[in-house]
Amino acid sequence: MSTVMERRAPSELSPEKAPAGPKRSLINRRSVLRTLGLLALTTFVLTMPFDMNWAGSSFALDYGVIIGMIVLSVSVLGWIGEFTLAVVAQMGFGLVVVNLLQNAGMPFLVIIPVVILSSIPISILLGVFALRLRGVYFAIATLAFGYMAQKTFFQSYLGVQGGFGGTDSKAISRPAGFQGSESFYYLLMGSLLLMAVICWAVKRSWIGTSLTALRESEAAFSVLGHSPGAYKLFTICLSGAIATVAGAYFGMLQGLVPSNYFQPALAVLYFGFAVAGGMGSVGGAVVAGVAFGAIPKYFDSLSEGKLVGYDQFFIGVVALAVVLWAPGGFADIGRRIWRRLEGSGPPPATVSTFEIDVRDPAAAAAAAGTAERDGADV
Amino acid sequence: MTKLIQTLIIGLEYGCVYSLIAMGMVLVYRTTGVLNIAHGGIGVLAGFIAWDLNTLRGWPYFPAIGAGILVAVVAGLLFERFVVRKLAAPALATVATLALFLLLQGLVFVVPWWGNTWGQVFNSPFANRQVAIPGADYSVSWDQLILFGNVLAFMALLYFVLRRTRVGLAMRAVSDDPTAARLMGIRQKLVAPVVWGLAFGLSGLTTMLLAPILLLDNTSLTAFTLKALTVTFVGGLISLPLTVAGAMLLSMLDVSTQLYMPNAKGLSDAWPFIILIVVLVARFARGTKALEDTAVAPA
Repeated sequence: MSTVMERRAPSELSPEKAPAGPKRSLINRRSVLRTLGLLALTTFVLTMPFDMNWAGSSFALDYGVIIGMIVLSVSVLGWIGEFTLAVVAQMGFGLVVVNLLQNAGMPFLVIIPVVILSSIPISILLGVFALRLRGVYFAIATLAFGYMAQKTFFQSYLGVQGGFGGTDSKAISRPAGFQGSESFYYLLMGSLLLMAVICWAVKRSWIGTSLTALRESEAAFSVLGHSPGAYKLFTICLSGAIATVAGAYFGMLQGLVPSNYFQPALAVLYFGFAVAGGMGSVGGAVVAGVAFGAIPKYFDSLSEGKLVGYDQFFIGVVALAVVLWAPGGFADIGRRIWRRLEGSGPPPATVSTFEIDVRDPAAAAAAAGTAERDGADV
Repeated sequence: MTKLIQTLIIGLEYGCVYSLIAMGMVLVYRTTGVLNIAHGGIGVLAGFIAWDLNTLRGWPYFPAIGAGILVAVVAGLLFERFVVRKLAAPALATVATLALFLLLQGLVFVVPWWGNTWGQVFNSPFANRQVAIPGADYSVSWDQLILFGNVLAFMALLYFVLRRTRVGLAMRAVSDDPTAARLMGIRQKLVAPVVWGLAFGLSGLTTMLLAPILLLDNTSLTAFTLKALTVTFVGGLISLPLTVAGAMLLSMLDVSTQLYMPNAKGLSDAWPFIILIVVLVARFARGTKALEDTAVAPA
């Protein structure tokens, strides 16, 4: 038997190492497409502030990138099948921390790590709820937390002026070298990409696989000797850190933010963005956040304020359409288009994170398919 | 004495509002497993339609509010038929209600003549009528009395429907055990539209009762809905009597803190969160498992 094998050609022994003609051409096509796609994306990201000058100031883009961070933080919780409505409160805490640190004269490079660390106690507090509550119950608990934070803490400290000192409040400043909207955009985009890469790496690692298993069946996950609590806390802390940093950047963008901004209802809007992007997807969340954050601002600018408030209607329509016809969101639509371009056959049927219901064997079986696909998602 | 009566009346008033909203959400959750986040949004739509017909088009008050509630009921039926029924899992339908909430919130801005940059005044025909409370320097408006009366009437109606009618029996059966209900020949496709129509209609009714007391705008109604959502937690999204009790408790605590402890800044707004913590601790102390484990299986 071994003699026969030795006589075979290398391509016969290991088809993966030496692919046949059509497969080799497919891989070549794929690598060419990926290189071209990466080049196009890099050019687009780098030149965006200048490309969009005709539609309005780069402030809209800066705002969109920050919303992208917030939506990413909401989407990350989709990994454990939960959704949070406390994300706006976490943003607010980031803003308060950056205000305090800037008043204490701390440099930017110290501020951001401290902001990340400061998010941990709040995340652990929310994590305590997550350990005992699931689904809508957890969402209600986070909503109550967000409501309390806005009405008590933010209203007392930020008030209508948006700073600690009432009418003498000192605005939060941008870091040195990033004062302009264009330069600040590059800082924000760099941070967003770094967050996205970290999330993507986590999702592709053994932690991501474990989180998928946890989402599918917490009981089975526990039986196998894993701690659901530790994994849940990790995910909530990751999500909280992203939201808190987004809040810090939001403070730098706006200068002064009144407490009214941090209404819990806003979290519902951001959750809608995450659903449209594809709950649990890193790339989908970033694209949906940046697009839904920036486009309405540009519309406001182009229409000279006549289209204010239309964005919610538009997002509602998109989110409803996504839920009905493309439960995987933009991420799934993008994946389907990409597979067609690559010529690698039709993608498998889509199953949303929210369709996974452990009480329903059919949905759980479908979820297993999702887990496989999620591994390849960016 | 006056302060106490004032606390009781205002507390009762807001308690009624929270109860109406929370009962609508619990009703839907119990029978379908879907948390209807769009509850407040539907009310806003119904309210603006009624205001439009009454104020801008000169319709009489009662036909206008009737039309608003009818639109809400029809919206409920359509939403159930074309959205909820198409979605496999209740969690996905919950996300759909969230999308509907955003859509309806935005709709108020999209219709140019509704101009929701400020609250609209939507007075009832009883706007300036009041009833003095004997022995206290305080009076209650007719609108407040109508609100109390409606809440009591709705509770009685709901009790009657759930306990004494075949539809109510079917709703309870689906809520308790959907599989057994199906085996007994109860058609979920007939029960679900009734529930959604009833809940959306209830949301419309709540807005009609609230609008003469407050202004008609989408932010205050949404805030009521969000606060009522925490009230549903008291009854575990299952029990209607406990939900009403939670609503009354929250509003009484809220109002009495504002009236008796004006210096306790933020405490009145922290009550939903405090109640939530207390409910959780009480459940742990009783050794109850995770809340969702005790919940009914959604249909």
